[in-house]
Amino acid sequence: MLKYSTDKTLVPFFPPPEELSLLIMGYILCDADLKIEGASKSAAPLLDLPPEALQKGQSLFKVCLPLVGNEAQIEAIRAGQLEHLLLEQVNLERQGAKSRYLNLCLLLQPPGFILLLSDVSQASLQQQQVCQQHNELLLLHEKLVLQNDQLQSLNRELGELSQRKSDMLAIATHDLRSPLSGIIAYADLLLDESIFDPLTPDQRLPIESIQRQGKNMLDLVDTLLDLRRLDSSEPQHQNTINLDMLVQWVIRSLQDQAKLAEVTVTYQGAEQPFVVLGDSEVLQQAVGNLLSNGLKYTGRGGEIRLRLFVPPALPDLLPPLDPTLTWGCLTVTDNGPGIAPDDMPHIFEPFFRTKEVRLSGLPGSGLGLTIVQKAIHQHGGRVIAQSQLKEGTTFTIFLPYVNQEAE
Amino acid sequence: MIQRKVCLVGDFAVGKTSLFSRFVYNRFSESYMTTIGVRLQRKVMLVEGQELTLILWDTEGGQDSTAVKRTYLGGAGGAIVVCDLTRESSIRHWPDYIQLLRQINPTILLTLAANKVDLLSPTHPHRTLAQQIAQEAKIPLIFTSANTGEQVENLFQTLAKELLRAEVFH
Ligand SMILES: Nc1nc2c(ncn2[C@@H]2O[C@H](COP(=O)(O)OP(=O)(O)O)[C@@H](O)[C@H]2O)c(=O)[nH]1
Ligand SMILES: [Mg+2]
Repeated sequence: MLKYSTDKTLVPFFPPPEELSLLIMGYILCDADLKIEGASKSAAPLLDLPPEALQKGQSLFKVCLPLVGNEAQIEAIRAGQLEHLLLEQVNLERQGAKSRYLNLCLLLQPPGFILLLSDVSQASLQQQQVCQQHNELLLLHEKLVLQNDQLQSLNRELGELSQRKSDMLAIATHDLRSPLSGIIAYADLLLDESIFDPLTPDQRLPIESIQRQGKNMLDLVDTLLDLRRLDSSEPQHQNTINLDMLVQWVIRSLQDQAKLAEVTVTYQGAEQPFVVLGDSEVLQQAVGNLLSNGLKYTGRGGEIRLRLFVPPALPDLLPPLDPTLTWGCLTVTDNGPGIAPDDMPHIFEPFFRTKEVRLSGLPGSGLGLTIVQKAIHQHGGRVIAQSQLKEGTTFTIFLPYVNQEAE
Repeated sequence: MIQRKVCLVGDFAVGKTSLFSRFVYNRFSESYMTTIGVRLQRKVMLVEGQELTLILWDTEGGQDSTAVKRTYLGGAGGAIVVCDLTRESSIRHWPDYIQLLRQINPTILLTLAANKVDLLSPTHPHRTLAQQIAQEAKIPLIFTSANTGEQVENLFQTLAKELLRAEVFH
């Protein structure tokens, strides 16, 4: 063990220059009862005491607060059961002064004790800054986690509410369907001259009205049920669908309507087979809705062009299209009246109908485009619209393309 | 003259230093200054007409009780275990601190400070959580705010009374 004496060899110079404070040490020698016998000159200033405070005979507990309460450990040192008492980074509060951190170490120095003091302020202040940043980050992290939890539970609640709402809608629409079908069937029956006597025009008119409006209502109910089916995040079926054939089929099925509307429909297919994965009924409905919308609004002598192709570059969309997938797109372009810029942000919203459409008296629920959007989203795709008043509108559907070789 | 060492322990940033400063200097600062090591201060109290000197040890806090430097706790007659009522984890860590303190000194006297009560609504579930833990551990619990000063004096008085009572008992 090192031998310490009361000479000043441990203290290189005093008072010490500030920048060397890291190296400053001091010591206090005591007898077996911890009464001071002597001290290095640096000891008193380190403890923030006047030099006379460390006079011979003074109790060490009086001048060194951190030792109070540690009597048991000191006894253990005296008995040789404990090597030393080490208290690190003790900050003796000094009113209005910079913090000073001391390491205190009490050891046996027969026949008494020695208390070693070292100033560790510089290292401690640096450590303080690091810890401060660390703790502030932790607090920020905790706050974020908490906020995230709150958002998630809010989101869950919203999801449940929305689910309950659409459940109710589904039940209501489903329950409407059977009585409506009954009403329409009876109206059909009443108008069937092979069963009943022919009606007078006065009788016929209101029954025809019941029949027509009943059918409109049934259409709406069916549309609402379709919409509900599209609420699930994935299509019910996952078949490989040749989109080229699907589009041609849709065009054929709407041929009569096109003729009636006096609108020309042209189609340019893709150069390579364009295969997507999903529910063909749902995609047929989506493409069908776009085409029949066009037929409805383009007007006599108008033209609708459909085109299926692989886009040379992906458009900037938010969120962006996954660039690791191969995308194909279908455009449906009409030269109809176009959509006003103010209406554009709303056209996919349920029940939205532009003022012009509402005034035109054309029937429609305002759900057609909502169905298109939901159907395409369900298939991992995107639909966008571009329009110019008096020039026409283009709807573009983007769908991820299945690489057949990889299948 | 009776002197007792009393430690403030608990997770970081729960308000140990703030309670210490409110009690010793009647000061409070909104800004957070991480404590390194330990801060010491002597405070003379008058408890039921009797003088008692507390040597307060404001220790550095970590993420939980495993970060506590055990050498700071030696010889403490009492300790105040602090939590931040807005941070559930800091309440849930109480039993670990209690266990640690009792392991070092089985006869240590403890008081729980549920701090930052000024930030909590009167019906917040964290209040009940703190009460449950205090009841199970059979330790007095005081809802404090270093910010408003609410119940801070009472917190130290409560522990001081216990310390004096134990003194008489000896
Ligand atoms: N509102 C409020 N803030 C507090 C209270 N006590 C402490 N704080 C704040 O909490 C932060 C951490 O306090 P501090 O005493 O340094 O915590 P310690 O790490 O446990 O010593 C600081 O920004 C304080 O201003 C309180 O009772 N109420
Ligand atoms: Mg602190």
